Amino acid sequence: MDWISSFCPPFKLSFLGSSSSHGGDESPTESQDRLVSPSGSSGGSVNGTEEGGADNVRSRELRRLRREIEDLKGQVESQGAEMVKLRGEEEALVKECEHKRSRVAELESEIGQMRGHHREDAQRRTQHIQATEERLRRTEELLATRSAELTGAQAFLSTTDHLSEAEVLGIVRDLNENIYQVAVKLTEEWENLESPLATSRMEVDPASQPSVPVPVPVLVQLVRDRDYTGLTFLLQSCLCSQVVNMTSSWGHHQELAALDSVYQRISASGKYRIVCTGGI
Amino acid sequence: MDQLSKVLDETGSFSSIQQSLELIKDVALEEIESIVQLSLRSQLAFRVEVTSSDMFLLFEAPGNMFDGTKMTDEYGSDATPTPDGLGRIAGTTEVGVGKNVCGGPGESRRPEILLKTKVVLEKDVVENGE
Repeated sequence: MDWISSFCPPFKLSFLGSSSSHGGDESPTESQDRLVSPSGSSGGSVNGTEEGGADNVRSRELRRLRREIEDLKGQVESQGAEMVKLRGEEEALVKECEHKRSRVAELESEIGQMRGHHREDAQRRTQHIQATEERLRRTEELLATRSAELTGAQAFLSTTDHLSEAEVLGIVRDLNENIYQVAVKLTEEWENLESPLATSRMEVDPASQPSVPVPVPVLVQLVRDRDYTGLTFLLQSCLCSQVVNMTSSWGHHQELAALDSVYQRISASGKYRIVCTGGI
Repeated sequence: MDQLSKVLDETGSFSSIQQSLELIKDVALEEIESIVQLSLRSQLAFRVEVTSSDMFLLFEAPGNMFDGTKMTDEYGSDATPTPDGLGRIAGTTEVGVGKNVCGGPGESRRPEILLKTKVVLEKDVVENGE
């Protein structure tokens, strides 16, 4: 009630006395009379008319004061209710503030955790980038080494064929044509020798071993039987055999024959083969 | 030419190998020189000028059985092998050409025929299948 006393200090005692003595022996009117006239004189007037006029004045003053008191009471009550309402609002605001404070604390905690995660993630990424750069550096060094070796090796290697398959087959067809021409010419010449005009005929022992380079018993027998076609085939077969030997060997010397076995091992790659052939 | 003179000597028409050799020189010297030059040319092509694959000449030894995948018959007759041996080869009349081709990863190299060898079969030169 301190706010009430501070609000209307002149009426403090009488108002409190009226409230606290509610139901006492003294009536409100008497109390009010004492308030208006504290000296205690209750009408010992000299003149009745003057006293009546003064009473009226006091009554009006008293009524005015009563109205003011009632107004003030109403104001006090409404302000009390407003105070209660404001206190409720204050409590709600305090609660909301506490809730927001706790929320802010949670968010700060989450931010701290996320900051930690991001820091760890950035650290892992940095390590990964460093490892990748290191691997790249080693790979580039290896590539440079290999490129230098390849550049050196390419000086000895040919990457393309100088002849097409068709050109090679053309050479072999010419070869077969010449073989056929030789066989036919020699057969024709032999036919002339075998004519009735020829006189230098020798007898061949049928049981003797043929001295031809290729074991072709059927064709040899035909030749011994004076078969012209057989001679052509035999000459062709012998020439083909010689051509194949000449083409596939490294030379006609016996020492070079060993190179054939070496060549068979390295011929898997044409690159190595051309290096070896170029060296010889 | 020594080999050819030995073949001619089998005919019994010459008194000596020297005589048959002289005949060869007189008749076919130019063609024989061409054969030698073309053989050396082939060797150069196979060994040096073609490096993308290993090429080689094909020759069939007499007595082998006919194989239509890598040979042709001189007479173009049916060369199906028979029990009496008529599918056997009597001699080679034209050389063929093959090359080794690299297969896929892990596969060995396999030969590929570019020009088939021409052969004459025994059944075509021996009368009555003898």
